Amino acid sequence: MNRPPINAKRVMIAATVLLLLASQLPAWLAVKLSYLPHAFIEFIATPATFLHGFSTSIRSTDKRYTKFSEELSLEEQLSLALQKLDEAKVYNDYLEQDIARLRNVSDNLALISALVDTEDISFVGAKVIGFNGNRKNPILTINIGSNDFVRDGLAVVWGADLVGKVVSTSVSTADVQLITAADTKLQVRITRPVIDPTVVPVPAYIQLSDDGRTFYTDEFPLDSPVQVGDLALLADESWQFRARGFIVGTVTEVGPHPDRPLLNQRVVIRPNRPLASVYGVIVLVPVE
Amino acid sequence: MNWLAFSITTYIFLLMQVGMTTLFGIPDAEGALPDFLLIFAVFVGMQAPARMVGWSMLTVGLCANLLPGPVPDGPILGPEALGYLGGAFAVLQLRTLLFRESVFSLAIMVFFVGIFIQLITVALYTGRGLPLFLGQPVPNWSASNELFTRFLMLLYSAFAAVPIGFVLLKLAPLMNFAPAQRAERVF
Repeated sequence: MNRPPINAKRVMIAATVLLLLASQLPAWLAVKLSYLPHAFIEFIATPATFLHGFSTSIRSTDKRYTKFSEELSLEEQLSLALQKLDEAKVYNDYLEQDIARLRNVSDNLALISALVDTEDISFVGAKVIGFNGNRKNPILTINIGSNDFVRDGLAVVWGADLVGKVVSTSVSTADVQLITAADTKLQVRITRPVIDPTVVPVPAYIQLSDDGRTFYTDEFPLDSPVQVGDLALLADESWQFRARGFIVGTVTEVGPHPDRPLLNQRVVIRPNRPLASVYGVIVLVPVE
Repeated sequence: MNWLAFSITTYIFLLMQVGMTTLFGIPDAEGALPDFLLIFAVFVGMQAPARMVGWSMLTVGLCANLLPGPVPDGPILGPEALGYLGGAFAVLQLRTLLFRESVFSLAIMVFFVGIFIQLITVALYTGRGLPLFLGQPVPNWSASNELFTRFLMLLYSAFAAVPIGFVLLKLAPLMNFAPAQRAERVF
């Protein structure tokens, strides 16, 4: 006997699959799927406001404050007030961290916007199609080459982070040597992550550590203003002009120099992302 | 089954869920709360014809899904709805073991079926944090904390199911849960 193509069981299975997919979507998309007009929600929720009013008329939500003024002794009130003050301080700290983070995002966006506005360079996106797996000389292969005006020596970035430099080119592919290749030495400017006109960026010459994952410099005196969280921006003249200003990494450690602890500091800089695992990059191609 | 009566009752329970948290929260509105929608869903699951249980619990689950959830951007369709659908399966397996007209049976079912529902819901929200899917992790999400909070809610809901179940049993004839009977042939 032929069953109809659409029956309750099949619809239920389809609904289950769709709900399962919807539950694992990114928040911005999932929220759009469950979007209901505000006026409709207001309309159907109107009786709930009466219920809520009824509930609060029976049981006030400010019970604690009623106690605060009427039932507690002075000592208890003081203790409660101090506890509230501590909670407010913690909340304030969270807010300050959020503000710093948002300023950082805003500054990065301003930097990227300024770069995009330049007319002498084009940002050519490329997909990473290979990685040689060599820790000493890590090379990414990308899917654009001389046909797209890519040539040796061009800088390769991802977001605001510097990834490496093109070292060989074919017609349709190019090899990019990462900045974490052995013996890399770079001239950088170390500056605060938030734009602060009172702080002057500090020039430094950094080199790759033996672990192949971080850079370090030993040239700073003990009273240098460098601190953990500062950004190291490329300032190397051997690199393409437009690559200068991209982020090499973030200062993760500032400690005494192992051999000259009373004279110098060792500053350790770590790239913001594992460069060997990027899946896409941007090549800064000059406009001829 | 009378779907109009079912829809109106679902709406009333949704309003109770939204508007009466201040009144019933222990120790306050941010503490343990009874889940009125869960109680109603389990009640319908126990009384309705088997082929209607999935759809009716899915409908209640979708309503529960539209309430503010753990994702700050807005409700994510799926976790609660699928939880209730899983709950429907559990109800169908368990309801033959209990006397359906008793409020105590309802309380017991609310607790055990609620465990199924909450496990599925928490698992789906937790799954958003796994790198193999597209979903982003829920901020400040701790599966163990959620399970503990939801366990307290289930205990409270099971107790609340006794008086609410008493009222629902009185209203049951309005929802006409008896399966439609085919006309009997006399000859």
